[in-house]
Amino acid sequence: MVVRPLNLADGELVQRAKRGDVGAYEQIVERYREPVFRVAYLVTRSTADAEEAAQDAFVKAYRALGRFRDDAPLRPWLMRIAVNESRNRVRSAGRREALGLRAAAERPPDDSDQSPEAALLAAEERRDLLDAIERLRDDDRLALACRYFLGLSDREAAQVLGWRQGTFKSRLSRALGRLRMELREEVTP
Amino acid sequence: MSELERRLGAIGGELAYPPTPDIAATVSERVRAPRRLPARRTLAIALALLLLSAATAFAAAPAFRHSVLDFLGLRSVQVERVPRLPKLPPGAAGGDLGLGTHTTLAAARARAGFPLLVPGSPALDEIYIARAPAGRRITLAYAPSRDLPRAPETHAGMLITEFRGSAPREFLQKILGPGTTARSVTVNGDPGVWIAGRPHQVLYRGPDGQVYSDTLRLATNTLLWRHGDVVVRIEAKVPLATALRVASSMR
Repeated sequence: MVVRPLNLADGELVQRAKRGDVGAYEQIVERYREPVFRVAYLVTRSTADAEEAAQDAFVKAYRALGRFRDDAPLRPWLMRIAVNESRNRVRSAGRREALGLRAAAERPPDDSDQSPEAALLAAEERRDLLDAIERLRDDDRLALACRYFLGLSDREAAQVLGWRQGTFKSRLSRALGRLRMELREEVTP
Repeated sequence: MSELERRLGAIGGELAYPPTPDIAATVSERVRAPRRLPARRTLAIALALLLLSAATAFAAAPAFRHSVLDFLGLRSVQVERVPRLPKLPPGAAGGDLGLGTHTTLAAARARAGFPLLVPGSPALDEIYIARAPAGRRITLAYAPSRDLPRAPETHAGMLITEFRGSAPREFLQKILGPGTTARSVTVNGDPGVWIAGRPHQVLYRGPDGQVYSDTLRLATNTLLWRHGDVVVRIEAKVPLATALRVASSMR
């Protein structure tokens, strides 16, 4: 039986995986499967496609480990491969009905001090916001999703989407502007 | 941060993603397995194999055979049959790479269905013979040395493979991945190709009849040319000039 130390740093796991330690790579997959699957889902809007894209991304990443610098950030690199895989799937599938984004809770928890009316209003606002995001074009939606839904920094989001950081910032700014238009919100300086 | 950005951040934490599937086991299974080619390519290669294995049947109509293979971009596809997955690292130079049966130079010359070319130098270390493709395939293996560094893909210093076939240019351009370059060269006056850069794939047909792209058996820098109807392939982690020097010493 092989006793594998847990919680190794990414760089150590990458080095081991490069030497052919598939168990070490399995730990990498375990560590990053959630952000990789979620970004794939945000692109494909299909649970099945996202799962396949995430799997393929990890397999491709394994085969490309030789080109990966041990000290480079692993998460955005894996997510970028997943975005590319997902885009390929969407492109080959053509236009189709995608699942809409939905908030998990339509109502706040019971212990909230919001009145029922306020809670209903908040839920409606969330739905309006998500619906408005749905109406944006793909690049705008992805820029917003990477920055705000996945909580990536500008630098990480740019890497994940394969854009320069400056390009990401300007696209994000334009996406926010178009979202405000969708929401018919006054653009304030 | 604007009010809109604050709302977006808040909603991000509440999004209803589908549960993240547990893909770790499937991924590790896939990276351990030999790479299967995409279905369409597998089908095309299987068809080419069928045509090649029935070469005698097509001998009466060579133009038809060539046109079909050209259409597939797989003319003179080289498929290595191995009884089982190659294991690395090998013991003797080139051993256990699925190169065939160990033999002697005299026996190989006698059994090859074509005139075998052997470099004047370096001295030959091992020689292997395989039954396929038709006319047999001979592989000369050289241990790593100062002039022939160990290739991580083959653990040998140099492998030279010879078999009967035709120009593989169309096929190679299809199978090479990014990071690998292929350029046309002239070898001893014959047309050839120099493949360099990242390791490229070697195809083989497994015991189940499927065509696999082997992740273990990756080829290093390769000089490939046709001399008459014999295809000669030199695999070594050396620059083109060195490969050409070896090629020019082959008699």
